[in-house]
Amino acid sequence: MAFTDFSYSALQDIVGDENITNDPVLCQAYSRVQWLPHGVMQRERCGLNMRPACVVMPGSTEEVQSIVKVANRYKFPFIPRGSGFTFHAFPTQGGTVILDPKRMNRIIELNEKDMYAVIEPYVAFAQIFAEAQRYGLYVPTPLAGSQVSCLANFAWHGAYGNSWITGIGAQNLLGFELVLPDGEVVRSGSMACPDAGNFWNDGPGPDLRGFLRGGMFGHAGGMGIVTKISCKLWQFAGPEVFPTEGNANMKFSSSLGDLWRWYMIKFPFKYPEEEEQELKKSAELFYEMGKAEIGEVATHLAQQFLLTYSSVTKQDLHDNMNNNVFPQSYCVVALAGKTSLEQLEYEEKVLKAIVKKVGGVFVEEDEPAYKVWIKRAANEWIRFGNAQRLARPSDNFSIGSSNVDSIDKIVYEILASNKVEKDALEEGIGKDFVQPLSIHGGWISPQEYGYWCLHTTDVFPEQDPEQCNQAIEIIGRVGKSQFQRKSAAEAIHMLGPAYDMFGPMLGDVHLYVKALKREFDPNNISNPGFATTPDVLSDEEYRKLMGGGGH
Amino acid sequence: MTEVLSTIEELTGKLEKVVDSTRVFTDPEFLEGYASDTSHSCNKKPDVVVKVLSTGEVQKIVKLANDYKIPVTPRSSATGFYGAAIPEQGGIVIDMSSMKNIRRIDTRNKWVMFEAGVTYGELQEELAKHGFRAINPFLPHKDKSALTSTLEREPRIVHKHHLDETILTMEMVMPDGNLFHTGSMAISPQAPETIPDELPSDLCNFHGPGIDWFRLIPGSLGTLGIVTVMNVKIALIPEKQKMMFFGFDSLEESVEPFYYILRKLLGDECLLLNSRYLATILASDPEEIDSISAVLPSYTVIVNLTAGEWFPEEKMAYQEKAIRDISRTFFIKPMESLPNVPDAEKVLARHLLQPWDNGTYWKFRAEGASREIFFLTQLQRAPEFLQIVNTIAAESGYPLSDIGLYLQPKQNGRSFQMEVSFPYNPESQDEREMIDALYREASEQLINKGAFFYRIYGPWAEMVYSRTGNLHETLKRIKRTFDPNSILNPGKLGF
Amino acid sequence: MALEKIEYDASHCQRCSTCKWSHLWEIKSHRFARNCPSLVYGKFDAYAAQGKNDITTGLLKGELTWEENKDILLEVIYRCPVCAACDISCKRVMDLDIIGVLDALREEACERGYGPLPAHKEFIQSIMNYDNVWKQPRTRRANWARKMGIKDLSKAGARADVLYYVGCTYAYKPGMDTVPQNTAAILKEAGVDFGILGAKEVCCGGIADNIGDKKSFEKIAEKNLKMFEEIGVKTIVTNCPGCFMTFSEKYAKMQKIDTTALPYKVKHTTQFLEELIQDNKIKFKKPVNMHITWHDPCHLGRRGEPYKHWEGKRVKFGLTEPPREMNRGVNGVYEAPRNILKAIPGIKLVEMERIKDYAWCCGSGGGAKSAYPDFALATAKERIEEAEATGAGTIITACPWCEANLTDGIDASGSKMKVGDILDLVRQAME
Repeated sequence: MAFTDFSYSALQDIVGDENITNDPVLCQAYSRVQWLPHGVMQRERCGLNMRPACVVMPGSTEEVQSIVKVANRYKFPFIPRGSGFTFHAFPTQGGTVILDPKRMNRIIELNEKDMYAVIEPYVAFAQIFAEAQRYGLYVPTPLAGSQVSCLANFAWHGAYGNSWITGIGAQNLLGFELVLPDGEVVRSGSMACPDAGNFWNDGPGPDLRGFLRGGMFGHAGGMGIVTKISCKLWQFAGPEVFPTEGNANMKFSSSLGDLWRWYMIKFPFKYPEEEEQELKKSAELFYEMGKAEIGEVATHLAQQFLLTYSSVTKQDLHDNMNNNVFPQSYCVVALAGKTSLEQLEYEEKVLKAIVKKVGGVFVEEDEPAYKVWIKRAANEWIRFGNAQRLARPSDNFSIGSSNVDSIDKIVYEILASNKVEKDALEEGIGKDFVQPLSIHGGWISPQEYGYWCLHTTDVFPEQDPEQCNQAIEIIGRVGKSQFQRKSAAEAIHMLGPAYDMFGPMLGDVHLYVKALKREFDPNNISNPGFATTPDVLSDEEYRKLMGGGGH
Repeated sequence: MTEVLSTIEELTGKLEKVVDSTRVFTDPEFLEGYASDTSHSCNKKPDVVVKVLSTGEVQKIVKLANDYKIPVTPRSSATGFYGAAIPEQGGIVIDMSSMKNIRRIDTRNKWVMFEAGVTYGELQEELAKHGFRAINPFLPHKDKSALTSTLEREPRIVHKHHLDETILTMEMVMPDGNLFHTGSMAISPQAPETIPDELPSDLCNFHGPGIDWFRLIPGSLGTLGIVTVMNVKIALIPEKQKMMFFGFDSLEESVEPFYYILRKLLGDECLLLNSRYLATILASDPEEIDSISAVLPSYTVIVNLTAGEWFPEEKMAYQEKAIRDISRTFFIKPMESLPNVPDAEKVLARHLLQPWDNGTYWKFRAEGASREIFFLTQLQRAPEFLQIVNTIAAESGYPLSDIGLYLQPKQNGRSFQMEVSFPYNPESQDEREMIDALYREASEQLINKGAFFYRIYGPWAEMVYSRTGNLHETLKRIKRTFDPNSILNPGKLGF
Repeated sequence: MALEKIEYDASHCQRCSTCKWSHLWEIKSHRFARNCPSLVYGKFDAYAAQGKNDITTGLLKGELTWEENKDILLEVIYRCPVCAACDISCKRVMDLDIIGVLDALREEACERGYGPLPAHKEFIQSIMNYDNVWKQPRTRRANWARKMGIKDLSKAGARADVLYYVGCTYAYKPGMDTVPQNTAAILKEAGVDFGILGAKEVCCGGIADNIGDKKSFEKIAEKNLKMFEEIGVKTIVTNCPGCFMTFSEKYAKMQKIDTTALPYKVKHTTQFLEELIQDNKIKFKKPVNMHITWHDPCHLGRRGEPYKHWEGKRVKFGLTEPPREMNRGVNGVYEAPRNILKAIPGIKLVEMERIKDYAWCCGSGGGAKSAYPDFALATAKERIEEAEATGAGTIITACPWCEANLTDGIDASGSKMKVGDILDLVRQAME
């Protein structure tokens, strides 16, 4: 069956006339997301099938539940979404219903003492950050920006500016409420127990976060709809109100008060010729900081991060790039006096000793790199306000490679991935991208004091299908090379078709996850385009499912 | 598989093809040792016990059991506390306590990989040679498997965020006998068996593959898969440490200062013990417990300040200053030792890193046995729950002065495991019955009032899951998906 | 057609939703975090800039047609005050001309004969018939100035350093005449040589441009420009942010020149008064003991920047050739009114959460008030709630449209807040 007048009328009864539409103009606003090559290609393949048949706005868990039950009765696919920033939140086939959560936008609880908040899907990071800040707390914000849904990001996928202490989304999610694909509601963590409060993440019994999330990703909306989460808040050494100066795109934030200090550290190597040494030294810095357990932020930023986040216009970005404002990559560190000023000063002393030990140099305040980064954009890493600048070089952006492992292995992975990207470039793949921004360096994001680490390298194609295909080709080549050297930790972060490709090499994990999918989504209607499929599919079947093209 | 095994002999015959016959046990007296544990919560002998030495053996046994639909209960420790490894429906117990290899210590990435039978004592001893420590619970039993303790999510004594979840990767046998690896071990599955010097992965990624097994499996009491090997985060042994104590007359008075100490990130280890529990640990002889308890503050918050490689004196100095500042704020007095109990700080310092090594397990010292109720709560609610426990204990005629109390912060104080213990004489039928009734009544009432029972042992499963809506059904569906024949530790968690 | 000009901008929307929120560093609470009145009222993404980009792209690609979707398209396009909060948010991170997209949608609606809406047509007709938007006789335009002895520069031979341009609403709206009267009195007391156009003053035409009726706008603008030239205007001072922006930005844009190349300078009254205060020509003698908050009119604030003309094309990577300097809300008139308020003794100014470049619009602009009064009212009520949260008793602004709509918002919500014009405060302090 598909989405019919009966389906529409049933949904209308649930949410009321004003909270549902099947008008093509209103639905058109849910039909394109082209900042990623995958989104461009999805639109190329699916055309107007990417436009939902209906957009419905539930106002409560009960309404979500009713909607899902109707979807099961009439067997039409539905897509849960947060702010709708990634291509997974868009249909690949006609007759799909999108659940827009704008009416579910409450902060249900903000617990200062026990440092958590309970939120609904349409609460943006900036909102919860602002509320937490009043109590000396904060929430990590993702590189996707503080405008995205905190719930979706924590429940599904997210990496943060201060992952050095907070980890990724997986580490920030506490309890959750989930409407399963068959319409049943389940709550996890202490949220499951009446009167227990919302403070805790696992139990009773097995931790259902393990069922909801996976790797960096969860089920991409394939396991129902999260309607509520509780999430961690963290001690914040900064002020109660985020400090800014200037207006609009010339608004900068360079200080977070007396208990917060930023540092840029560089290593004396030629760039890009000696990039390997620079990356390895950065790793040493992080390992030492991890041993000492100091710092609030510790990250290695390649040129593309520095240039994009700090540039106030596209022209400024390209000028800064051409003028080599950041002649190399840098490590960026923040120390925060969460105990006291004395603690901050102690950590500064340790940091200085470590930097000396590993042969690094602090970037001086009068250097252009410091002026452009610390004075303009460093605080961005705490509360992302200008995140989409990352796509500004070419109005399109793609992660070229990513991986999760030790800091050492991540350095190795960056070099190996960059080599794949350079080799591709020699064949002409990526020649029209913003270069050389698309082949050097990477973001090293050590997590939880460096116990583990993730990286990304980025490529900047234009929104041109041919270039986007090239970007996807590069991602594929990098992934293949990772498999060849048995380091494809990225492969374990699976979505949709990747389950069938990689599952057999990973203990047949795809069969277990598919069994779960069959159990909980018997009609295969919870975002079928991106979740794993109930059965193993052939390439051809996948192409059909994904709207006709390759994925 | 249509064939049915009708006799134990047929089963042992099959098992002996998998492992050496000397490691297959059917002697009733031997099996008796697997029929109960210190919880005395249930009593059921397995039909056969197999002592295994490798994951491969586990795999073969599970496959066999799955083929013939025979229950399999994994057991890694030589002792149990909550009935988790008692084979409620008989069948095979896979005893992994002989899997004793500590396979690798990665000092750069700070992890240790070990097998199911390794105890904390063994682990700490080996790690100490490299300057590291395992992140252990408070004073575990010397026979407790570190792997089981981790999977059971016993609260770690180090409350830091980044050490809240310590599991990196795992090797496990699924209910269908499939060998499965989690996290980055999935991509380098040869690693656990034979570890070369240079692994393709450093086994630091704990997520995936697919879903987050590192979370789904712990707390499942061996019902979803049998973990045989894991690597977990470890920490450097501090170069300096200094224990600070705060004494309180009531639990209520401790709440605000304790929150504040944790908010200021002071102390690698922080915990609160009541006088009874603390005395139980400090007494060199059980006879002294009463007298030591009498001279201790009613409630003691213990904060262990540490410092490492860089400028340890200075680190200590800022921490001590912060402690002094807090003391002034709350009008409380920090103590560097416990009055009337000489060297208490030294005894405790040693105990922070080690399993209990002074004869009878500390919780049993007072009366020979004890029953514990533990759950998670917010610190601010702990006094309310203590009141409930005291009321029920008083009604049951249990002496309040005998109750032990331990509060262990997790995640920098977001949550606390609250443990109350009721020591009793296991030889007395009356006491056993009284304790059993008290335990059930207190558990019920605590759950009703919102105490969060997160580790679900024995009767708690029914009590908790009957109050959590669709959660149990969801878990059962997951269980059915992975273990359609319900062979893994059946009966646990209400499965 | 108009949409073709902004095809790149609309189709390169990243869908990041930055357009839907107040400045992400400046959000101070969950309650007052959003910035788009149109989206908050309409809820569906179509009402946000992001949605309008998608719809524009759909129209250009033929996925949507005007013919089949006229009614809903007009609602999406016109139920929006064109306050540019989305535009300024977006331009922090991208280089897309979002306000250009909103304008182009309106322009194309008019080109195709679907726009403007009936309520808007009344305005245009009124301007054509009466030179003002309120269907009032020309002869009453300067009634506010009777007996004030102000020079009428439309009269032969009259000359002054400054043209004080009053605008339709202050000239005609009952109860608002105190603002021009106070302005004139202040200018006089400060010794400024100024005059007005009296009954010859003609509507600036900004409303026509806002609703996409470019042809009418050009006619009105040419009329005004001709008059300015004839009397040799060097400096125009106006109280109305709509007129201010029209003379400064729209007239420059129409002539394809920079604002700085216009033969006259345009100053909003607050800018002009700020200078007079700095030059010690205005002295405050009396404290005004009021607890107030300041509402930034969009046309004065983020839309109040001087225009920089650009003609060129998008080249590789979306760069522009020649490089284009876009208005991004950086140089709007934010500080002048605040400096005046700070200079008045006794005033206690407390800021709302959404101010300056990320201020919440009153809901009146872009023809929204006339065509969608309920929407305008809901938007005003939101601002009143925000103002109330400051604890202030009065919301001060410097725009007749904002003042009128906020007053309606107060009436509708039963709030005890008051609304006032900054000029009234200045006058009080001088007396």
